Amino acid sequence: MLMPGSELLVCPHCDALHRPVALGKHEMAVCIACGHILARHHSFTVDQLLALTVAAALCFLIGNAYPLMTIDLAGIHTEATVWGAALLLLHGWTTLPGVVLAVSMFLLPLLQIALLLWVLIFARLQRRAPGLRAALVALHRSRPWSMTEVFLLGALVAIVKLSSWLHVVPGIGLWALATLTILLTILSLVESRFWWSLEQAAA
Amino acid sequence: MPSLIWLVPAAAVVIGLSLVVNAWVTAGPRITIGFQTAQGLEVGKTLVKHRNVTIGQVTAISLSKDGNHVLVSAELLKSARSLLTSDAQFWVVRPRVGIGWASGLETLLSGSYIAVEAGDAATKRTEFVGVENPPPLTHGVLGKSVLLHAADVGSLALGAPVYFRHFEVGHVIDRKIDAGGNGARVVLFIDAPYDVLVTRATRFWNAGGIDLALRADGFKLRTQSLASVLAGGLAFDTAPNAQDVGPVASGAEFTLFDDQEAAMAPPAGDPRYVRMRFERSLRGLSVGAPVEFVGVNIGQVFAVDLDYDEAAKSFPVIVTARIYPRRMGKAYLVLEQNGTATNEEKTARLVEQLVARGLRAQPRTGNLLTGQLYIALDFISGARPVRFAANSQTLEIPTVPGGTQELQQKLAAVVAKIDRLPINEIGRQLHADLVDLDQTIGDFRTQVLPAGTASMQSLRTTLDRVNDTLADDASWRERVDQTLDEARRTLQSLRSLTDYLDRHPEAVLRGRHPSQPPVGEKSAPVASGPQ
Amino acid sequence: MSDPIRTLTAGLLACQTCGLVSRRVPDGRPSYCSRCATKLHERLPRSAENALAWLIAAVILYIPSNLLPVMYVSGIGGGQESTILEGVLSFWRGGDWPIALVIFIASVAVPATKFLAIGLIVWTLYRKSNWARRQRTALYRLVELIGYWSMLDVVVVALTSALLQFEGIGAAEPRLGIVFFCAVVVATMISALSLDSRLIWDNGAHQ
Repeated sequence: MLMPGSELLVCPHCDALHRPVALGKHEMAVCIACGHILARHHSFTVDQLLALTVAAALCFLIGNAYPLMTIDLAGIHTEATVWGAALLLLHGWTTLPGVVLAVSMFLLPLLQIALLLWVLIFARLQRRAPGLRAALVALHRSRPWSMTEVFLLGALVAIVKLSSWLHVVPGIGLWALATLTILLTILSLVESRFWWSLEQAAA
Repeated sequence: MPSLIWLVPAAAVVIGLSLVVNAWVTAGPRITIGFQTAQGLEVGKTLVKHRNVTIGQVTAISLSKDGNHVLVSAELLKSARSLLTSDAQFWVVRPRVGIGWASGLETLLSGSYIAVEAGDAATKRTEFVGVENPPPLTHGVLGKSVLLHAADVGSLALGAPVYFRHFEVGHVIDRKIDAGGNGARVVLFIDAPYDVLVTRATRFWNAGGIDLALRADGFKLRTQSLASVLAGGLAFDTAPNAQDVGPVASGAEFTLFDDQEAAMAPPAGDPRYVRMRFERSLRGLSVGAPVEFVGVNIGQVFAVDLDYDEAAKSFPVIVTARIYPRRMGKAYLVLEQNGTATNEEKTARLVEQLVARGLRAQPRTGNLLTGQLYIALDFISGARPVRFAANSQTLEIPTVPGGTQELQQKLAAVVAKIDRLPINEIGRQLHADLVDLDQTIGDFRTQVLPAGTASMQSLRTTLDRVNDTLADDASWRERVDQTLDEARRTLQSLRSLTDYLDRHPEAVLRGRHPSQPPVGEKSAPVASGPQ
Repeated sequence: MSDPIRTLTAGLLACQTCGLVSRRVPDGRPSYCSRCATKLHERLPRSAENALAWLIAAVILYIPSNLLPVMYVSGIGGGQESTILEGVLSFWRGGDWPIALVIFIASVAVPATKFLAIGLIVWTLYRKSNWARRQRTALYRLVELIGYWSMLDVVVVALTSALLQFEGIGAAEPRLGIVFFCAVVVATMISALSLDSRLIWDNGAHQ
């Protein structure tokens, strides 16, 4: 017989049982055994989260529509985008890095944003999003593989590296990517308990 | 039982091993090349190329143990193994500029690289000594190489062009001094398809620079092309009237002549040396001056030396000439046929006979402009008989002073004569005579002329009297007239008589016949006048 | 600090995906989370073994990833390949030591740390040791945290190659080394994900 476990928190790292405690502002719940952060206080409402997600979606669009950086040399103009970098690696025998890059830094973030939007829009409408479970599972599974922040740092390193030889101009896409990174990080701080609680959001 | 997960590391091992094996299998040879300097070479960057195709890369650069040169290690592709013959050559391609050419300029941008040219040796090796200058690229290039023997390389630089009828067909690929130090060897490469032009009858000559010849026989200016003016050049052509025009193999040897004329001259054959001893100075005779035999150029002066005659305390000039008997043309052929040419003894005897006939060596002016002399072997009439040593190794031809010398002598004599003229005396005498003359004329004017005038007067008076006497109405004229008349009449009668006597010769004896008219009747009436 | 109550000890089972705590039914049949329908495992199956396998694969692949060049940059003066370490050194020599440091950390320090950390944890799991459990779990968290930052070099190579495409003047392209490096990062990530850190606290009861 299975019991609803909304009253219990289990540390995923050390399997210790905890009873959830109401958290005040800026308070965190930490595992007593291993120190893993079990929960953070956040006061995000669905609306705010939706706004954040929409912003993230916009950032994603802008970040991929506009180049991250451009170089002008002897009249020749080159620019870099996330998808362009992935595509370059996909050609030739660097297929593996190309796939990894494409998935981890383009497809999965896109999926994440799409799923969040899906879930949150329905939640906003006081409804349980269809396929919520699958969506949340997918979100959970894809989280460790979503690496936009790595791409951001990589872009910064590339700019610094190339600017020592050439004149590199950071593009709008870079700023969008940075904002996207921040937004996705914030969104990831919302622990899974909250997302699963949306299951009961439907009236 | 291990789970299938272990396939993952197994796969990793397999991949790793396959990489290692692949690298090991495809690894090309590793070589070491010694160079004088590593300038322009960078580890991991400098490439090794063959005919501009990258075949390897420099992996390490280090100093040799003795610190005198640099060891460059390089890793090559497997396919390059065939290039590593024992005589393969490695050099660094850097920008190089010479006269009339430049090479390797592209390396200014792309960086130096090491180039390799394979050789033909059968053995292989992995340690090489690089050459400092790019060798001629002849491996695999179609054509022929030709070796020339020359007295010196003149102005021939590496890469100097080789011309055939003013058409560039090849270039110089190597030049070095002969092993013995006498002369030089120049190696040419004639590109295909022109290499077939080189036959056994081909002659090569130095066509480089500006051929400016100021010789006993004239002044000539010749040049092939601007490149050859700068870098030197060679030309070749087929000798005229050559019988043997068979092809030659690569590496054939030829002699390099100094100019086209020398090259195209009929084969000179083996030289003979003759010596001549001149008593007077031979200023204007230079080594290489032509030696002519009855007007035909048969050789040149080889050496001019000064000797000291102890007995006469003089310094005769010993001239050694190199003559090519073959240049005597048909004469030589005749001599060859009767066995004289080849037999030294017979030759000596022939020369002795010629000397007896007056064969002498004489220096003559070849060019009045430059004063250059040449030696003429000719038959001089009236030459003093000379003892000829027919058994000496080098034939010694007796000499006479040169035509110029005679001229000089005559001039000298004339000058001496003029010098000896008592110009002063004559001058003085003339002066004295003129003074006399002056006096005489003065006397004449003052004395003779007046006397002359008086004489003239008396002469005129005389002439007047004569004139009177001879006037028409003079009495004596009348008398003369009368006399003349009488004389006339007498003569007439005499004539009649003679006529009568002619007709009547007996009249003298008998007198006149009465039938005959009287003498004088037939004659013309005489002038009336007294009878 | 008292020993925490372990879920399993309490006869419960937590879903790793959605966090739902369910009552454990030890009847040998697989059970599924009632909320998210994912399969419930007491512990990740063959966790240590899988983690070790992926770790070994990652270590093996790390060798070619450092020996082989990851990028080829060509300019007018010819081209040059460079490995990860050569790239770090060239930045260091060029005075760009912050970049050199970042790349070194991401491409050398992080993978090495992961190798050591996961290796250590797996080894202690095999040894069934109780040593420094909290610290080992913290180590595991560290591995989780820094795991994917090693992909940095892949991103840099990809972006540099995408940008330096000037025909005739300069160009850059990725080389085989980056494939191996990417494989190393993926393998370590899978290795870390396969490792069930709860085992650290299990005293060897659930291997």
